[in-house]
Amino acid sequence: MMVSRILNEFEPLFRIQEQMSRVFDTVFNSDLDGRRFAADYPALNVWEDPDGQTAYVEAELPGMSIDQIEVSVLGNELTISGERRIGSQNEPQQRFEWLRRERGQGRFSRTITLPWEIDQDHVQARLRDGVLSITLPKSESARPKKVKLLTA
Amino acid sequence: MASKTTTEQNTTAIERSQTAMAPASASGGNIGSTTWFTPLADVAETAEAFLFQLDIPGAQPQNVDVSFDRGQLLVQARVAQRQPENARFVWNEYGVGNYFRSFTLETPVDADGIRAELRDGVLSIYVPKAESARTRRIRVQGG
Repeated sequence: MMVSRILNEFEPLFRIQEQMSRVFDTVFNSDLDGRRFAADYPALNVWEDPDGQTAYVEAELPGMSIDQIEVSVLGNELTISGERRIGSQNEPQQRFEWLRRERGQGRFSRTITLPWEIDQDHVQARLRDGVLSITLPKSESARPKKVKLLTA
Repeated sequence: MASKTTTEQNTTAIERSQTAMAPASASGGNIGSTTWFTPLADVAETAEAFLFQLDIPGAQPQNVDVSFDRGQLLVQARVAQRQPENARFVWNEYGVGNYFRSFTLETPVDADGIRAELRDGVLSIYVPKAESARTRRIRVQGG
C-alpha cells in the first residue's frame, strides 16, 4: 500500500492522537453498552490549504449512507463514527454460501485532534461515491491577530 | 459447492477476518506511473449465480470496466486524485489511484447475463451460472 507521508510541523500532534487511538483500541475498545468498535477505522487523509486556514479530512466509507455516519466537532477534535453493515441490501433471497469475505463491517469511532480550534459553525461534511470529505475551517480565535503598535 | 470456484490472480495477503475493519485498499502496486490498488471483495455463490461486491470508493460508473473473457472476470476502475495539487498533507494513511482485480471462475457461466451496478463506491456484479452448471433439487420418489 502506498503511504507517502509529508512531514510538517503539525505531524507530532497527529502522532500523539494516533498513539492514543492504539491504546483505546487495545484497552477500551467497547462503548458504555459494551459494544465493540474499531478505533483506527476509517483510514484518514488530512491536508490543509497552502495558507493553513482550513484543514480537509477525507475517509473512504464505501457502501455507507449518510444516516449511518456521524461527524462531530468539539474544540479542536473531530470524531467520525458509525456502523458499517454490508450485504443486507444486495443479499440474495435464496440460500447462498460465502466464497470470500474481505470487506469489514461493524461499529467504528475515530477521533483526531487538530493543532487549532475548529470553527464549528462552518464545518462541512459530504458523502459522495463512498468518500466522506470534511472541511474544517480554523476558528477566528485561532487565527493570528495583527496588533497595532502605538507610539509613545 | 466447491470453495475453489474463485481463485486470486494478483493479490497477496487479502484474507482478513470477517468482522475486523480493514482499509478500503488492501494492497497496491505500480504499473508505469499509476498506482493500482486491489479492491476488497466479498463473493457469494447461490445455486444459480455468483455475486461479487467490491469496494471501489471514489469511482464513477463511466470510469469502471467489467469484462468477462475465457473464465476470467476482470474489474478495472480509474479514480482521479481528489486532493488539489497545492495541498499540504499532514496525515496520509491511504493512497488514491486506480483499481484492478480479476477472478477466475471454473464454473461455466452465462456471460450474456452478467450485470454490474455501482452505488456509493460499491460495485456489485451478478454472474449467472450456465444452465448446465446450476444446482437442481431432485425430488426423491417413494417406492
